[in-house]
Amino acid sequence: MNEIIQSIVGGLALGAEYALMALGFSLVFGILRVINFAHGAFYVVGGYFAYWVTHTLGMPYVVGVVVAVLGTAAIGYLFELFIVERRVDDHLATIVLTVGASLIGSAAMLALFGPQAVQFKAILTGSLHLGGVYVPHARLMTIVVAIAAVGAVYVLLYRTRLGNALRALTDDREMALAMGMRPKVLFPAAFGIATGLAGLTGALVTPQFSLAPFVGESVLSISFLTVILGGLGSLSGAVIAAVLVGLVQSFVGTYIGGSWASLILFSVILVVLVVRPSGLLGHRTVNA
Amino acid sequence: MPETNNKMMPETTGRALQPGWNRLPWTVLLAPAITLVAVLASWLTPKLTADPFTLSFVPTVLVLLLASMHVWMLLRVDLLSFASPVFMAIGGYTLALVAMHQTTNAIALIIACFIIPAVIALPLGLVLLRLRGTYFALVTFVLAQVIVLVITIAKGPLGGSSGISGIPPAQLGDIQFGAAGDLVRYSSCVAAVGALVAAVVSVRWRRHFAAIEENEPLASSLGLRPWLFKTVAFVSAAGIAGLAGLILINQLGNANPDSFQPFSGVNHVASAVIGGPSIIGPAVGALILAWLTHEFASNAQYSQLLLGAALIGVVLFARRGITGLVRDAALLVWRRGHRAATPTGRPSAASGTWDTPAPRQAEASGAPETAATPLAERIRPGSEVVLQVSDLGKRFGGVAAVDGISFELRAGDVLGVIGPNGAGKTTLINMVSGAMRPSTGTVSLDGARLRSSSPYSMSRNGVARSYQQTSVFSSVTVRENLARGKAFSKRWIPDEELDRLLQITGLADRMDDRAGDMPYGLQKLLGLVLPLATAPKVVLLDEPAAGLEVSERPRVDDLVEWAIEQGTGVLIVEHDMDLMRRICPRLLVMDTGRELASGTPGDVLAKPEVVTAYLGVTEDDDAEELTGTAEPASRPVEHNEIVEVRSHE
Repeated sequence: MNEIIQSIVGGLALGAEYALMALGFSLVFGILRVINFAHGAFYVVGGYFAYWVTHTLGMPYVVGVVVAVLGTAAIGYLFELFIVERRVDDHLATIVLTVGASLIGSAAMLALFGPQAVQFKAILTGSLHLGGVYVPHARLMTIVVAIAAVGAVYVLLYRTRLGNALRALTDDREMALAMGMRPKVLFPAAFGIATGLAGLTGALVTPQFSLAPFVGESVLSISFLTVILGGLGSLSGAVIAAVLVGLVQSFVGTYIGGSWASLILFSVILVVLVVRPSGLLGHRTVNA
Repeated sequence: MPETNNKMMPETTGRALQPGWNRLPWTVLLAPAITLVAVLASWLTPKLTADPFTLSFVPTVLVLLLASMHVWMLLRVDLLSFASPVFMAIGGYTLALVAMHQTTNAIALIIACFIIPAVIALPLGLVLLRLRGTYFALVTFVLAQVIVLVITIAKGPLGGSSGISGIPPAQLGDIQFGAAGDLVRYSSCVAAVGALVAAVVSVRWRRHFAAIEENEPLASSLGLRPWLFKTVAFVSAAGIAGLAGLILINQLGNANPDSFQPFSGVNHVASAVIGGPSIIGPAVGALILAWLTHEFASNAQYSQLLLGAALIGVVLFARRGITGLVRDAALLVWRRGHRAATPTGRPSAASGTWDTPAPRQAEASGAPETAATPLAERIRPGSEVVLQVSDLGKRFGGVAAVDGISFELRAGDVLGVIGPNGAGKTTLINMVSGAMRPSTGTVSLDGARLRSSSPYSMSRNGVARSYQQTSVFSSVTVRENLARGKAFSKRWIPDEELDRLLQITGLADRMDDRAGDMPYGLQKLLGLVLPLATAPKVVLLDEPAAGLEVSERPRVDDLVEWAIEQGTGVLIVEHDMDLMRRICPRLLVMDTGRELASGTPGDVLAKPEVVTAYLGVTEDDDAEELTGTAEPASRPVEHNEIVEVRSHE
C-alpha cells in the first residue's frame, strides 16, 4: 500500500517538474507556432546560470534563480527578435534555427564548464515524512513553484492585455496585424517569457537531477512527450499530460522497471500523433 | 536530340513542352560520379588507402553523406526528417543479423541493408505521411528515441544495450572488406549505390517533388498524388539511410545502440541544410561536417558551435545552402562576363517567334459577328447531364451556409452562380469539387454519386476547379508550369489544343517568363489554363475575372467558349455582371445559402428580390434600373460598377 502511495506522490512530483519543463515549450508553440528545439538548451543554460551565481560567485540560491530566469529570458528575447522573427512563418526554417541555437547553447556550456556534470548541491535538504511516504523538500518546492508558474502563465494569457494580444495573434495573425498589434514586440516577449520559464526550471530542477551540457536533450524529449500528448499549444493539456507522464514513469519504474516506461510513453505518443495530431486534449483546429 | 529540330519548327507546343534536359542541372549525376571516382582512385592509390587517417575518415564521410542524403531527399518533398538514425539502425542491425546468421556476401548485404529499411519504411510512411510540416518533424524525432529504446529492450535477438559484437566483415570471393583499402573500396561502392538511387529517384520525379515542395494543393488538383511521391521519397530515403548503417557497422564490426544516438539526426539535418538543395549539397554538407568533427576532435564544443552558427546563417542568409551560394556567385561572374551579350543570362521572352495580337482585338476586327451574338446565345448544350446536384446543404454549427441547392449541368453548358458575399457560393463550389463534405444532398458526375474525396481523384474523374486567388507554380516558367500539368494529369489535352489556350490567354509569348514575375492578370489566366488543360468534364471557376483588368476579361469569355467547345460543363461564380450576362444562358442566384431565383439572366435580374439581395435597397427605381441592365444597349454603366464595387467589399 505504501508503495502505491509512494508511487503516486513520486509521480505527482515528477509530473510537476515535467509540467514546468513543458510549460515554456507549449507557450512558444501555442503563440508563435514554433517548435523550439532549443528549449532543452535554455534549461541547461538556466541551470548553469544558477550554478555559476551560487557556487562561483557564492551568492544566495535565490539570486541564482533570479539571474537564471532573467538571463535566459533576455537571451530568448534577443534570439526571437533578431533571428526567429525573420523566418517565423516558415515552420521548417524555425525548426532548423532553433536546432542551431540548441547546438550553440550546449556547446557554449561545454566550452565554459566542461563535459562533466558539475556538483550543483541542492540548498533544500531533508524530506517531508508523512505516514511512511517520503517527499524531499526540494521536490515539494518544485511542486509549489510549478503550480505558481502555471497559474501565472494562465493569468498572463487570459487576464492581461498582453495575453489578449498574444492570443489574438495566435488566432488570426493577419487580422491582429491589421488591428495594429505588433508581433515584433509581442513575439519576442512571448519567446522571452517561455525561455525564462525554461531557465527557471533549469535552476530549480538541475540540483535534484544533474547538470551537464547535454542533459537538455532529455528535457526536450520530455517536453515533446507532454506537449504532444496534451495537444500542441494547449496549456492545460500540457499540464495534465505532464502529470500523466509523471505517474506512468513512476509506476512503470516501480513495478516493471528499465526502459519500458519510456518505450510505452513514446509509443503512445506515436499513436496519438497519428490518430489525433491535435493531442488528447487539444482542439481539432490546431493545424501546423 | 529533339532540340535541334526546334529551330525549324514554328511555334508548336511540341517545343513548348520539351522537358528540356538542357534545363536539368548537369550536377544531378555529380554525386554518384564523385563517389565512383573515389572508388577508382582508392584502387589506384594503395598507399593512400593504407593511411590510417583515410581509413577512418573516408567511411565516416560516406556515412554522413548517405545520412544527409536521407534528409535531403525528404526535404525535396517539403518534409524535415530526424529519422536518419532510425533507418541507419535498421540497416546496421540488418547487417549484423544477416552477416552473423545468413551470409557475408557483400552484394547480398547491400541489397538486404537497402531493402529491409525500405520495406519497414513503407507501412510507417503510409501512416506518418498523413502528417505534414511540424508534426512530421516531431514524429521522426520521437521515432529516433523509440528505436534506441526498442533495441535496448530487445535483449534476445539484438543484444540489448551491449549490442552485437564480432560481426564478420562483408566478403566477395576471397576479398574481405573488413580493413585497409578493401574497407574503403567497399564503403565507396555502397555509397555509390545510395547516391545512385538518390539521383535516379530525384531526377525521375523531379517535377513531382518540386511541385509538392512548391504548391502541393495545386499539384494535387492537377492529378498528382502527393502521398504516392512522398512515399517514394520516404522509402528510398529509408533505404539510403540503411546503407549508411551498413557502412558504419561494417567498419565498426559491432552493432550497438550507442552508434545510433537519436540526436545524431540533428547533425544530418544540419549537413543537408548547409549543403543546400542541389544534389551535390549532401556531399558538400557531409564533407564540411566531417571536417569540422575531425578538425575539432578534441574540442567538440567548437565544431558544435560552428555548426550551430552555420545552420542559423544558412537559414537566414542563404536559403539554398552553400551550393546555392556558389552557384549564385558563379552566375554573377558569368553574367558580368556576358553582360554585353545577354543581360539577363536567359533567353528573353521576346525571343519566341510567337505571333500574338490579343485575340479579342483580332476577333473584333476580323469576326464582328461573334461580338454581336453573345456567347450565352450561341451555347447549344449536349443532351447528357454531366453534373447533377440535388438538395445540397452544408451546416456550420447552427448556420446553414448552403441550404437545399439543386441544379443540373449538361455537357457544353454554362451555369452562372451569383449572389452577395457570404451567400454560400464558394461553399457550394467546395462541396461540388469534393473539398468539403455536404451535410445533406448529393453530387453526381455522369450519374455516379461523388463523395468527398481527394483533389487528385477528383481531377482524374474530370472535375477541375480554379481558385479566387492565383494558384500557379510561381518559381518556374510558364513552360515548366504546363510541363508539370502534363506530367501529373492523365487527361491532359493534346498540344494543339494547349496552343489554342495559350493564344487565347496571351501566354504564348510569355513561355519563358517566370510565372511569379508576370503581372497578376497573366498569373490568374495561367491559373485558369492549368485546370482547363486537364480536359475536365466539369470545371468550376471561382471568380475567374476577379483581379483581371477590364481589357483582360474578354479572355475569360474565350476560355469558357473553348471549354464548352470541348463539351465541358462550366459552373462559374463571378461578380462581373457584364461577363456573366455575356457567357451564361442560365443564372442561379443565391442568398444566405438558399436559391433566390434561377433562369435566364434577363428574367433573374429583373426580380425585385434579387435586386434587394444585391444592392440591399428596396426602392423601386433601383429595381427598375437593374432590370434595365438586362438589355446591354440601354444599360447605364454605373450600376454594373455599383454591383461590382459592393461585391468586393
